[in-house]
Order: sequence, then C-alpha cells, then structure tokens
Amino acid sequence: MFNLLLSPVDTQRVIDATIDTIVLLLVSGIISLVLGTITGFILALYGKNRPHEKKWVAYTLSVLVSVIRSIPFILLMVIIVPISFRMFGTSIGFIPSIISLSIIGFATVSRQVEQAIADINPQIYDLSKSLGANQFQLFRHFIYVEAKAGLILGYTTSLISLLAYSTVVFIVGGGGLGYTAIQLGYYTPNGQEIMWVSTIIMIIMVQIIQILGSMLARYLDKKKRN
Amino acid sequence: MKKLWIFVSLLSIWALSGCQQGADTLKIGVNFYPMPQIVELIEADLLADGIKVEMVNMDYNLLNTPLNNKEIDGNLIQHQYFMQFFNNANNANLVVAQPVYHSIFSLYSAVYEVDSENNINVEDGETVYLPEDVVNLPRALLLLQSAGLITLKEGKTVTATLDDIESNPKNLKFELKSLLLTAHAYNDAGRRLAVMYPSYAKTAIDLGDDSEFLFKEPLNELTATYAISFVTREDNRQDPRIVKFIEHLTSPKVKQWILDNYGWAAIPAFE
Repeated sequence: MFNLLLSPVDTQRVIDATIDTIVLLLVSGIISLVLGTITGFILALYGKNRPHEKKWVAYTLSVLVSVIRSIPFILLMVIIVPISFRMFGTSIGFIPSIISLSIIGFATVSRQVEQAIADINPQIYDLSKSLGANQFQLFRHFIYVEAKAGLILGYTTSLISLLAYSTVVFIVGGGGLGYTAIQLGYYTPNGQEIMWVSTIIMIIMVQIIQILGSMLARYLDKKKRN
Repeated sequence: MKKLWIFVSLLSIWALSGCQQGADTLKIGVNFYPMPQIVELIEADLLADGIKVEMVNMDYNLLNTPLNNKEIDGNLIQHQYFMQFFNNANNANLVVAQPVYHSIFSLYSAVYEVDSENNINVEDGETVYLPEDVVNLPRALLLLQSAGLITLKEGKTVTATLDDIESNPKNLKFELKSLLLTAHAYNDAGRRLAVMYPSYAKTAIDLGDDSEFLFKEPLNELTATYAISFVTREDNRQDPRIVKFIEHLTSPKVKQWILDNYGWAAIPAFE
C-alpha cells in the first residue's frame, strides 16, 4: 500500500515535527491545566445548587467557557493572529499557536474538572462542615482526595483533545505533526509516506497519554480505598 | 498565579528572542507544492551569495498579514488578484515582484471529446462543475467562453459571475463547489464535465495526467495575469537581497525543475 521508508530529509522533518508537537502540547497543556483547574473548581463549588453558591461568578465563567468552545478552532486561531501581533509583535508560528491552544485547552479542562468535582459524594461537604474544616482544608483533605482519580482522567481527556487541536496550528505556521501529515503529506504530490508516518506517531502518542492517565487514575483509586 | 505570569513572560521573551535572531536572513512565506520545493532548490545557491533564506510555511490565506507587518520579506503563494483583494481590504502596498508559473486551468471530461472541427459537443442540459470562489469562478467562465460553450456579456472578464452569462446554447447547468470539492463532485457525477486545476484533480481524485483534458486555458494577455507570483512590499521591492533572490528564482535551473516536476500542472512564467 505504501512504503514506510522515508527519505533522510523527511525523517528529520517528522522528528522535528514530533518535537514541535510535544513542546506545543506541554506548554499549552500546563497553561490550560492551571487556569482550567481554577475555573473548574469555581464552576463546581460556586454554581447553582452547589455548596458555596455565588451564582454570578459561576454563571459568567460558564458562559465564557461555552462561548470559547463554540468558536470553530480555525476561526479562533485567525482571530488570535492580529491580537498576537499587537501583544507580542508576532503574527506567525509558536506564539499565536500557543495562545489559541491555551484558550481552547482552558475551556476543555474547566469542564472536565467541573465534572470530576460534581461527581463526588455530596455528603463530604456536610462532613467537612461538621468537622469544622475551613475552605482550604475542605479542598485539601476532602475534595482533592475524593476527586483525584476523576481529575486525572479529565486531564487525560483534555490533553488528548489538545493533541487533536494541535494538528491544525500549521495553518498559522505552528508546525507539528499536523503540518507534516496534511501540508507535506496530503497536500503534496508523493506525500503519502510522510502523511501515514505522522499519523501513526500521533496514534502512538494518544495511546501513551491514555494508558499513563488510566494507570495513574486506577492507582490513586486503589490508594483511596485502602 | 504570580509564578504563572513569570513563566508566561519568560516564555514570550524566549520566543521573541528566537524571532529576533538572524536579522540578515531573508524570510519567504510559502505554503503549497511546489513553492517550498523551489525555494529549497535555490537555498544553497543563495547561501553562496551570502543570503540565508528562511521559509515560513503557513496557510496561504494568512501569509499576506506578516508580509504587510514586515515580519517576512516576501511570499510565493498568490496571483495579483488575490493580492489586490488584500491590498484593498487592508490598505496595504504589496506588489508583484516576479511571476513564477502559470497554473494550467482546464476543462475536464472523460466522456466528451473535441471533434475534428474543434467543437465540443456536449449534451443539452449537461451539468458542469465550477470552482465557487470570486477569483476562480470568473476564470472558469472565461475558459468556457474560450471553449465556445458560453458567451459573457460585453466587457466582463475577471469579475464575471453566473449573472454575466449572455448566451448558453447548450443549456449547461452550473454547479459551484470549492476547489477541492469540484474534483470530487466531477468524479461522483461520472467524470462528465468540470473546470479545475490539475493539482487539485491529483490531490482529490488522483488524476495526475492530461488524459481527461478537454480544453486547456489558452495563454494570452488576460490569462497571464493569473500567474502565481513572488510578492513583496513596495518598500523592499528594490532591496538588493530581494533582487538577488529573484535572480535565482528565475534561473534556468528552476525553470527546468518546474518543467520536469510540475509540467503536468504548470508552465514557467519567466524566460
């Protein structure tokens, strides 16, 4: 069907693209993890009928997250281009890619974290109150402990979504495996091999993330039970 | 949170310092085959002349923005009409510095043939698939006019739309699709009639030869204006490095390469 022997030049390109993708994923992953986790907590604790109701805060954030998730990602990137130029003086490549990936990642992580916390047994809030725990202790000794496994699974899902989104950033010059698979592969005559090799690397990356995430979540779950 | 800001600012400093390095490199925007390959071909020769070329590869729809912002020095992605759209919309001063190749534009069919008197006898009411965008649709209509299938209203050329069709003796039905989908639609309909670029025909339905060319766009003064060109800004058009770049871009070596590797879809636009 296709010959998986790439030329040395193409091999180097795929290696570079893999590194690009990993860097994009790490940087945008860290940013969206931090911001998304904070927002997810706010959504889950301050929302309607939640333990600490602060409706307006949660409602505003919830609308923001939904709006971000509604914008087609390619459009989001194109919107970011002039903003990126005004803020950082660059409208191509790494910076606009990271900004748009972080924005969409933040929205994805927020919802996953919200879900993970909403899923835990609501009795812990009464329990923590009766034990006289303050807000920080509630978080540290109750919510965090209970939701750990769910959070890890949520992060895993978000990271895989980010990996999928990162395949499109070649449109703004961000490189990565999407660039080798689509621009150098699909859009180029005789690009079949590099297209498939890039895709296979993507499959392997998703598998690694998923397996590690599931293992960690299972381990934390066991630890909690004992 | 504070740590995050420190991290983000460090990151941007690092990224920006990456952008600043190599102020003496010539940055050229490229996107689709064969432009990146052509620049690669002359990279070494330019280096021998003391010019380091760096390619910026991103979606061609966005590549005029960095050129206008002076982040890159030129791009190899467009013909003058596409450039004009950008200039008008952004009050920019991009200029065509050097045409590189003429894409072959052709009427395709696996069903019909041209008879001995150069007539194309298509069935009455046949559907023809055309690209829908504002640049390629007029070009396709002009091609149909050259092929004798329709006539356009007096004076309508590169801005023609379906409303400007004066006569349509074969009662052709026009189906508009995006460039890539035109080829798919043509294939799905039994490869009867469509106007498209060979490069898209190859990408979409793996039709990489001229076996189904029914009528090729004649190269004349009007169609020559569609040449895919090297575009710069007005202010750096005379930059000695740009002049040197054009010199290499129009070398016999490049011409031969286009003929050998892309001859099925393009004609070099320089001597």
